[in-house]
Amino acid sequence: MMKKDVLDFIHAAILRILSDEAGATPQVDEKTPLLGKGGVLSSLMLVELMLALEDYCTENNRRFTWTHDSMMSAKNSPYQTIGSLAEYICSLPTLGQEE
Amino acid sequence: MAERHVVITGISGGVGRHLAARAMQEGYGVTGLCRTPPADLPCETLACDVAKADQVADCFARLRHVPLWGVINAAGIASMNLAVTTPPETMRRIVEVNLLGTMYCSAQAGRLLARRKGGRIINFSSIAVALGLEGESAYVAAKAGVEGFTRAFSREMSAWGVTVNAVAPGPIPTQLTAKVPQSKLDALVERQVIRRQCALDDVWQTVRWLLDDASCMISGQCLHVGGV
Repeated sequence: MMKKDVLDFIHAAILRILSDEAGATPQVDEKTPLLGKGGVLSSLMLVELMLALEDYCTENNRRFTWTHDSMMSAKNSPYQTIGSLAEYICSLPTLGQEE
Repeated sequence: MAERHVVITGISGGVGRHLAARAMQEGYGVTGLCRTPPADLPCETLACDVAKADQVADCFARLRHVPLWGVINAAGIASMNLAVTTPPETMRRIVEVNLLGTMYCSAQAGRLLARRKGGRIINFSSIAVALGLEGESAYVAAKAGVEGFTRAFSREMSAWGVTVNAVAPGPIPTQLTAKVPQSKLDALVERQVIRRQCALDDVWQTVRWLLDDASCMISGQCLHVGGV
C-alpha cells in the first residue's frame, strides 16, 4: 500500500464521519492529531474510523488489529496523528507474509 | 439468506439449542458457537471457546458478510459450591466463560453491528444475582459482572442504534440445573414473583421480543424471567 493512498482514504473517511455532525468541518492534514489536544475526532468517531480502516486493510489483504494495548499506551502510538496512522497501516505485512 | 442473522453462543447447551431452533422458526439466520459442535444441530455452527479472545475474533471475522442483527450470549457454566471450597481454577474458568466470553463476543459483534448502524446484543444473567444465591458465589460474581457490562456497554453502543440487554431467568430445566436437588429448585422458584419454574420457551419469548424492532427503546436493562 502506498502512503498517499492510505492518507487519501483516511482523509475521506474523516470528512465523511465529520459530515454526519453539525457544525463546520475542520481542516485536517497529515499532522492533525487524532487523539487528545487538537484532535478532531471524538472517541466514537475514532471507532468509526478504525472500522473503516479495518475494512480497507481487509480489502488490501492486511490485518489491522487496532485494539492492542500497545496501540493506545505507547509513546509512539500510531494514533498520534493522521500521518503516523497512515505510516503504521503501510507497515502492516501482507497476510501470509508475516514474520 | 435470511434478512437478519443472529449468533448464539453456547449452542450445544439446552438454552442455546432451544433459542437457535426457535429463532430459525421465526426466520432468523443462525450461527451457533460452542467448543465442540454436536452433529445434530439444525444451524450452521463454528467451533469456538468464547473464553479465548482470538477464537472469538476469528469466528466473527468469518461473519463479516452475513447481515448480522444480533448476538445472544447464552454460553455459561456454573459450579454449585461454596466459595471457600471452590478451587481457584474453577473460579477462573467460571469468570472466563460467563463474563469474559460475553465481553469478547459482545465487543466483536459490536464492531459488526456498528457498521450496520443497528442490532441487538442479548446477554444472559441469572436470578442468582438478584437473590445473592448461596453456594454460587463465583457464578453470581461473574453474572453480576455481565449485568454491569450490559449497563455500560449499552451506552457505548447506543449511538449506533444497537441495544444491549440482559435476560436473567430463574432456574431452567437444563444440564446446568440437572444436578441440583428438586427441593432446592422448588425453594428457589418460591422466591420468584411467578412461582413456577421457567420453561425454555419462556426465555425464548423474552429474547424474541428483545430481538424485535418493538424493543428499540429498551437498552441497558436486565429482564428477570419469572420476576424477582
